[in-house]
Amino acid sequence: MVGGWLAERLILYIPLVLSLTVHEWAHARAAYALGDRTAAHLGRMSLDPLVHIDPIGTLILPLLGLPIGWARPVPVNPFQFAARWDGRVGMMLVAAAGPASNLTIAGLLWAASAAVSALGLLNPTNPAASLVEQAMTMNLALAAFNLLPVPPLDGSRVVEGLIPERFRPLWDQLGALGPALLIALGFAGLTATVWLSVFFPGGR
Amino acid sequence: MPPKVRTFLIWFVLLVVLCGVINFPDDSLPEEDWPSFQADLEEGRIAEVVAVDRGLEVLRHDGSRYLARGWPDAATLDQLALQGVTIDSDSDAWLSLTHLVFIVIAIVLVAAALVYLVKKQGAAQTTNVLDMRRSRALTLKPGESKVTFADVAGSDAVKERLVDIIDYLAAPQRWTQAGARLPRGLLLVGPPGTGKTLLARAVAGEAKVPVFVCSASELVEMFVGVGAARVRDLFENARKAAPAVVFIDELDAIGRRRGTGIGAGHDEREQSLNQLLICLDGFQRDTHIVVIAATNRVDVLDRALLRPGRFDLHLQVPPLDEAARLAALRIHTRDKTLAPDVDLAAIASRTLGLTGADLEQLCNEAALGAVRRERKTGGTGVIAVAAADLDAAAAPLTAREHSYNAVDVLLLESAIQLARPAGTCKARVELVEGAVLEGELLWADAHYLKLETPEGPVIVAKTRIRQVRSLAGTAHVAAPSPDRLAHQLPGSA
Repeated sequence: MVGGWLAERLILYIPLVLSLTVHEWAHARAAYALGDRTAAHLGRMSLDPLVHIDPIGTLILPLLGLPIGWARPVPVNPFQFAARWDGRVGMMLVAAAGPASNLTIAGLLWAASAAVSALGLLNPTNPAASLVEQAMTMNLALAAFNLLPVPPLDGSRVVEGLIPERFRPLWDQLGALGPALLIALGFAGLTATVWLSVFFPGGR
Repeated sequence: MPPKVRTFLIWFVLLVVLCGVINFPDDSLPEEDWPSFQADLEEGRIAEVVAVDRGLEVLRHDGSRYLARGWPDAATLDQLALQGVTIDSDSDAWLSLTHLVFIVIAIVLVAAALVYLVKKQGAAQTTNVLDMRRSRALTLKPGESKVTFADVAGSDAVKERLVDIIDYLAAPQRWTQAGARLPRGLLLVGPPGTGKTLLARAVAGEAKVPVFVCSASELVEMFVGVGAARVRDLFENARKAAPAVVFIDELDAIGRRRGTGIGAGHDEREQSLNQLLICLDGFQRDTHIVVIAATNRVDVLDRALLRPGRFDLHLQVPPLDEAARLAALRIHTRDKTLAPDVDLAAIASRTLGLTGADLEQLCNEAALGAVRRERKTGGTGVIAVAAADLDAAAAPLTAREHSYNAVDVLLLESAIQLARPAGTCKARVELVEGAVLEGELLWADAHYLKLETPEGPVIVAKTRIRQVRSLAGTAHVAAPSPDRLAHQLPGSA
């Protein structure tokens, strides 16, 4: 089927949007649990994809076929954390909650597919099985991508909480390069994909 | 729709679509490797091949289909032709309907996202060079401003002239028939807080024509020429929308007398002013634009601005008298519930010297106080503003006057050259608001009088005085005194 790869993209697009939604919701929920009501007041503590969609990260990039994406960042105010939470630790927890949610989804999907195949309910060649597998991979990829220690990704927030205070100025300076670095990484990935498809046609 | 329901619906629809797409009949073909295709070819089992982008779709004579990965070389093609196998290519399939729909959806989504982005960015920053030359005037279409003349207390004479303007712009025949020319520009002059801008908003609310509102400071920029360009643009827009009203707030920001600036008096502000002068009354006369400007510094304005043909008409927006204060209080308590013990007339008579803005603050403070009181007592139901609330709110505003007096005694007596009457002089001072003060005249300067009244010393601004009359000691006052200014006491003769 000629439109095959395009249809495949579009099928994967739905789980992608849902995963990103859960990701952002997890940030907001974690902040709420630590006492910060900012995101909740802004209506971001919701599983409604519409409140989290970012035009570039959620619409354009995935539709262009890039296997990554992001949603609108959830605002967090560390000064609203409950007194027993240090602001740095709190920010780390909130940042980690996003990738953790994707790992959780991946785990659940894996458990579901394992259970289904163990019970023999579904033929392994069934498209649903491959979709579950792809959604699982996607969530693992999302978690891995977001844990890159490059600002403004979640991983950088975790690192930020870990590095000693005196290296903070240096870190902030490097942080300004983050977006450029991400774009460079994206191009590198794109180039790699093109090379791979040139040298190993047919293989995906 | 409650957010939770919406969330649920979105997830439901997306998951249903997902399941639907998965269960779509899977028409992908089983794949075979190239050698098995070759084998089929050798044994003549092939009826038809279709070249597609991933290889060859093969139809056997027995009706089964498969996809062979790879491309035929010349020898294979010859063999196929020899066996009479139909060879087809599937290039038209690119235009298959589903494909087209997918592409269209993707393009629409991307385009929509781009448009959204551009709009969002456009709203965030509009400082490119061409935009800078554009006037930032706010355009109020007829009926867009909700303020009407009913919301403006006092200033009846001013209102009358403004109503004329509005009427002229709506139906000019009546006025031109009588040979009347409309004032080109109106200058609203008055102390801060007397409602100049409010009047302009009321004009925007009442006029049947568009009103262009801008602040004069918007017409001055860092770069020379930009402000003048904005003036031109402002009048250009007004001309396009004519008949129209242009309102320029705080005119003194550009209207200051020329030749007083740094840099030999050729600066950005003066260019804006020159441009404004030309737009008001240059070669291009346009009788369908009326310019209203407001300022509280008419003394610093350039004389060219004030001549007839430009700002012909200077309308004094006076401080509120007692009736106007009462009207203002009524206006500002329209949306509040008043307790039966409230006597607005009494407050109006007590709040001498307060402007409309002061009175609005007073009413708002009273409402805040009422809510605070109710919250403390835990009362429920409609919160009514009581007389006590209004009194409490009025106290600091009137106390401001008292403390002003107390400070002034020290300040003025030491800092200003004072004129004292030679000898005791009892004076009777009638204020604009109608109040009357009697007492010994202690001193006077260019702006103030100090009287020793039975209630204590009072300093009165001359602008608030309607009439001064000497009761006793007239001879001393009238007699030549070394104090120049004593002669200028109004009504002292």
